[in-house]
Amino acid sequence: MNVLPVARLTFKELLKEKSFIGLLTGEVFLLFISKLISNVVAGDTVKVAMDFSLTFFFFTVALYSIFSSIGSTFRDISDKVIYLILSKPIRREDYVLGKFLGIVLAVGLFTFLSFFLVTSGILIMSSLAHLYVPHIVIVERIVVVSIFIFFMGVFLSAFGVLLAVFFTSQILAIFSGIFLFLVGLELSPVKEIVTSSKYVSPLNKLIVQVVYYLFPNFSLFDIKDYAVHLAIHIPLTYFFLVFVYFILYVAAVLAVSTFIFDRREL
Amino acid sequence: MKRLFAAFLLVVLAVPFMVEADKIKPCFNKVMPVLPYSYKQVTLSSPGFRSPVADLLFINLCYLTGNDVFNNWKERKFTKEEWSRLIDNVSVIERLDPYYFDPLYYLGAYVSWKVYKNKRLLLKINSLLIKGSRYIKDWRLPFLVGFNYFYFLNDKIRGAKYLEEASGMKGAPSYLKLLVPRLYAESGKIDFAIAVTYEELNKTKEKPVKEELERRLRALLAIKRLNEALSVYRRRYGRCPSNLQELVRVGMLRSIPKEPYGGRFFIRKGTCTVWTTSDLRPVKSTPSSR
Repeated sequence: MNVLPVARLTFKELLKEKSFIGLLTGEVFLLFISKLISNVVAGDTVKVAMDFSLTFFFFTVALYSIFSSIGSTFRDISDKVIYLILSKPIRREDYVLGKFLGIVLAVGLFTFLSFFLVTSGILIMSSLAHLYVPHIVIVERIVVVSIFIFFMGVFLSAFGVLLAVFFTSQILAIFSGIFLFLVGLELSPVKEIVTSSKYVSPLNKLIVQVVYYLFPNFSLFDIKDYAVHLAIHIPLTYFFLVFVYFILYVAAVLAVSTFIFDRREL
Repeated sequence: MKRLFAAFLLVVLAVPFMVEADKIKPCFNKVMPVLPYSYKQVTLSSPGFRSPVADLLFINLCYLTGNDVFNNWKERKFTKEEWSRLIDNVSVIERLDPYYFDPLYYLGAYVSWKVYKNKRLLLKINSLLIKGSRYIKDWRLPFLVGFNYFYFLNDKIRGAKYLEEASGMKGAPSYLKLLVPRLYAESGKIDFAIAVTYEELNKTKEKPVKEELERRLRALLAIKRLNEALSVYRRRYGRCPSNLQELVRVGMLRSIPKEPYGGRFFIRKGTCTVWTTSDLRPVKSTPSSR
């Protein structure tokens, strides 16, 4: 398998991208916004600052994963780099897997740097706050949240690669990626609302149930509250179940991606 | 360069039009309405943003209730309907982020005082606080519920129940341990008050609180003894005595026990039960009673 050369090439290429440093800079800006918003709330300002910082962190990683995975694959095709790569003894599935691995490395580095920025920002905001009852910040909890955000990024990257090999328009692929992500975040509340409503027909309830089971559930990776509220405890079983779900689903998405790419006319 | 200068000139020329248009733009009512938020709409329109949206809704609530304090130095007067909507909005916030303490504190410590005449709204606040205390282990939540019950709703037994819960929680002030038996005693549940005081005495390690609880226990036991004598008297004579001295006169008591707080025991005519002028609090004129 010649996965590693493609992965190395993708990783290096993604680090040179403006979006990498651009989104990180944007994150610093969003941290300032979080601080400003937290200033206008009554009571626990650190809680509000953490809510916003971690939400921005979550969405920045998601956007980076979508843009980098779709952008990088499309660029290879539009710049004809793909012909150069495939002229070497590299199979098409090796290319897809290598691409994915390189994106995962870039997303991992991006998540790590974001974690560093966000945690530093939160600790600074916490030290500046003068609260009657201090809000305790536990960095280990932010680490756990960051690991979940990384998994979510990897999950989205797998979908990014799939969309990039499936669609012939980059814009369409990016919008589909964002749509998929937002729908995946809403699955649980939509199912909860629809199934408990007496105004929704049984057929629509069934459709929602089917979509709930088949669509990727990104809300599983959204455990930001765990870092904010110390009263929340997540059982180890939850981590295990999410990890298994993540591995199985990513493997399935990659299988479909390689299947489509093998048959695609370049 | 000419083109840039022309562009600048065009922008400058556009400014007076913008200023004039801005002046005659239809203006919305300056008093911000209290909009009712729906949990379903908020959840569906903000994927992944549940906690920040909860924060923003709370900021909005604070702004609504505090805005006029800053502008006109007087509080905004809300209608009953608006208060009800504000409380409903806190319920939406709590569904979005059940571990968020500040909106509940805002309800219990501020809104309760504004709607205390409306029993329905007070009960609504209490149910939200009780729901919140399932997630947030903070003594102030059951305390606020208990306070609303005994102070505004005049339900001392329920008030005492929640205050008892609060007094057992981490960080609760020691005076709660004393307040609970007093509320039970005031509502006529002397045996309950004695039991709670005993329980607290066994749990408490702080010396001043222990001493205070012992004094409370002495007072409660004295009330209990007097009440027992009173019921024997009523059974025998079929009426309530006019004062406690009568119990001594007929030989049911050797003497009236000393009131540990420096007050005086007396008979409440309506219920024919014994109570004290001190209300189980140290009487200021006799500090030596400690």
